[in-house]
Amino acid sequence: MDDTDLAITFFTLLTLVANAASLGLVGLAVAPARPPWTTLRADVIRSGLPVAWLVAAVSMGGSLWFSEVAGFEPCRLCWIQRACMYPLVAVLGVAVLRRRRPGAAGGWAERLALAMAAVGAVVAGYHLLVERFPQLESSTCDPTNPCSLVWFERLGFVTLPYMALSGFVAIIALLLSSRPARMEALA
Amino acid sequence: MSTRTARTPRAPRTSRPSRRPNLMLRLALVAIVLAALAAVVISAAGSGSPGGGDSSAGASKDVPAFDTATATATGTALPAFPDKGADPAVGQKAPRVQGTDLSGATRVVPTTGRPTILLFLAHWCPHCQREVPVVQDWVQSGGLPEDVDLVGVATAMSDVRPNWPASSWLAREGWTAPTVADAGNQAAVAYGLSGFPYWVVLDADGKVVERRTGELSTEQIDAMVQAARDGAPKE
Repeated sequence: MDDTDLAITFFTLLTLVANAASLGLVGLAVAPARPPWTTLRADVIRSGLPVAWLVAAVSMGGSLWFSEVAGFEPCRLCWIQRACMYPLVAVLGVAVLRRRRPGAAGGWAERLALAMAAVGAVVAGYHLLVERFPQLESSTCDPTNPCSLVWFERLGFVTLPYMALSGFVAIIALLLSSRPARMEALA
Repeated sequence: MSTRTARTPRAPRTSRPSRRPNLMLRLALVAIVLAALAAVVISAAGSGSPGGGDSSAGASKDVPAFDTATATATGTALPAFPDKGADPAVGQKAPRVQGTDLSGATRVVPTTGRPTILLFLAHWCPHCQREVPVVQDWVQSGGLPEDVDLVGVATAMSDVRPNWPASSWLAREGWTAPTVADAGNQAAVAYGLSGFPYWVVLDADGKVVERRTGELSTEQIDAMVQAARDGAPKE
């Protein structure tokens, strides 16, 4: 069994889980205010931040594995996404700790995390477009490491930038679903 | 004397999360463990069926000799192809490249006395992957005249990059142009390659007529054929 193949399959499955979770959170946001939806919302508000931190940490681990173990060189757009995702582990960690303090609710860490995830999602979305339409960047491949290079593709649509986009979108959905304003509304 | 001051009333604790079991976090951790187990099962099942319909870098283990063969270049190397401005290589004698072709035979390019178009390709480059079928269709529809050679150079080969090996890719595309392997990039460097796909047009004297990078239309390739026949501008 090939380690790279195993890792790609593992992260593909997690990507699908992240997609399903993001869709589920959108569905929960528009669900009627009665049980069991209110119970689920309370769970999301309580757990959203730690789960967002977990998504960022797993995404960073996957990114490092693909570059350092599998040998997939990060391109220019990959580096921008990394610059958004890696610090999210620290920023969301701070947000989780702040939320645990009595009386603390939200703050700069969550707003910063939301902004970073939004920038990362936009860049990942553009990277995905460049993969599908390489001529968006140029009609020529950079001889070293073009952003249009598709390192792998699973199920016909899961590629590295798709994975990154799924991670960023899941983090955004979790952050928006666990906002302090929503927490107080449920109190 | 006591210095104790009155305590500031605590903020209401209504916004503090409760301590009951964190269901969603547990579900997330379970999802990670289940994904890991499923990945092991899927990869184990898929390892018996090569290909599997998905693509990833370094998918094939049995590599033909072509994909590790190096080429040698003799003669004065061309300067790097500039991004803009006049090409300083025009009119310069091109290096001769000797390497292994797809049939395993040794081939020297360019052939003396014949105008030649060299097309440098990288198996992992999406633009090369789009251009190869265009060029092959052009060849099959009779676009390449008998008095002009079209020679491919498979270069920048890497077993960790996608669409490896190059020989399998070219076979899948039905590529018929003679193609030299350049696993060590000597030919690419000697020809001043700056991007993929990379075109070098040589006249019958082996002098550079023009160089281009990128995907070209069949009309542009026709124009290159005519330029190869016309030859490099006289000094």
